[in-house]
Amino acid sequence: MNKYNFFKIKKYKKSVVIAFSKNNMTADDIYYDLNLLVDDINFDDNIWAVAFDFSKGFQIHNADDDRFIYLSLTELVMNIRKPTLCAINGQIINRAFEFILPMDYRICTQNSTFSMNQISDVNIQFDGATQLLPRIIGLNKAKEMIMFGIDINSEEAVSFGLINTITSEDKIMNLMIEKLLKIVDFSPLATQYTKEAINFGNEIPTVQGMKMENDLSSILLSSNDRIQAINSFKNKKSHRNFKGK
Amino acid sequence: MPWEYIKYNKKNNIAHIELDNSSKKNSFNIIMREELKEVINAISVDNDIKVLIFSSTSENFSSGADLSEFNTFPSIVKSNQIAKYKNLWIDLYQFEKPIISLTKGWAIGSGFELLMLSDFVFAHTSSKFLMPEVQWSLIPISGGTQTFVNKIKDLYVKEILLFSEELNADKALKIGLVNCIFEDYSELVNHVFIYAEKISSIDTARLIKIKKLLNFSTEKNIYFGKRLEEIYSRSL
Repeated sequence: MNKYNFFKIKKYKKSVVIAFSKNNMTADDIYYDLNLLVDDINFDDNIWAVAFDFSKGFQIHNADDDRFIYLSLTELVMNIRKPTLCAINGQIINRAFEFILPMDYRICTQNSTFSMNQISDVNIQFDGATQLLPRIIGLNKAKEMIMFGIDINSEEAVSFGLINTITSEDKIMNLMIEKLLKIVDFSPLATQYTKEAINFGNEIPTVQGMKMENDLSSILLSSNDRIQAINSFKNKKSHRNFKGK
Repeated sequence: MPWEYIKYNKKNNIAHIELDNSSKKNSFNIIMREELKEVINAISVDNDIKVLIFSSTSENFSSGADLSEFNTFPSIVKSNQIAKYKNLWIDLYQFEKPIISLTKGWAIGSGFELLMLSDFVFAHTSSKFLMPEVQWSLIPISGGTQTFVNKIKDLYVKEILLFSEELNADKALKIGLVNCIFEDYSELVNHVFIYAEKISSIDTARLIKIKKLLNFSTEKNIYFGKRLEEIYSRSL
């Protein structure tokens, strides 16, 4: 998987950890690599979860060329079907801040800060924040961040529901790997379908969402993972050897 | 009418259903779900009843679906049809009158999801909550992937459903899954019934309309919002 110009990829058991090859990039730099990477992740049956390593900090700027200014990175991240985690450190602003919003589990260091100041730019440009942030931290807090450009620190980020947990800089990667290993211990079919049901279900009427949940569950009925897990339960054995089939 | 796995009482405009399958940790089996569906449909058209309370007869609220019944279905198509079109949980989501649940001990899987289909949840300090589905290569099937999102922040939904993280009563209160916790169980029961009586004193038609509006407020579409965001950005 080392065919990317802007990503460094490491494999951990049934997961991958992705880092940017430099900390300061433009959205169009990342877009084409990320597009390719998302497809690779989605169609690789050996990848059950994905983590982004931003523990050295990261910044994403708008494309210099106006033709590429509307390329959406967050839509690509939203398209990753497998659970996504990220480890964050430092000052996270604007496009970089938007990039982490679609992820499923976010860990940061004590000295991380988060802000959006697009409102003060002449060329107001958002990549999902106006839609994702209110869903994550609630409408009032999202308005404060987007309309007033306020900075929040790591503790506020936890209390707002933006960050799952805070740790120190030297422990952040270990904690992320620990969470990554926890989720790849579960059946990848179950985690992907659960993620799909939560994310897509939020966009359709609840009753339709509940029926979709039934449909996804019915697809799982025929999977080997489920049949073996239920048989193990009936035989009072633990089952931790999922194959994703 | 005697029920095998539930107890049902009706008094002063309040319906009270107790989950009663203590030999199997109050798990939901097929018969229990059918009994619940029948009672709930009857309550929904009973004009005397203004509010419904759920609780359990044993030390745990419910251990969720009875996994011993899994892998015994006649066919996937049949199973899907029953799940979709005879769905107790959809009936509960669409149940028009207020639902109050009282929980203690474990609320696991469908038991936890039943609490999320309730309008108010009061918990004993012994309460613990878990969605273990991903551990057994299952996904929630009692509306969990839909109802949690409506009640708590996205981040906690993923912690609970994707990472299968266990919660205690304090954390459940902190993140907004339960309305209130009580150390003294009899005080909790007392509080729930006082609360139910208070609600039942409000005009039923008004309550039904307000509940529908509040539930409707959670129906939204992010892709439309995302497109609108892009259109607005381009036009600035």
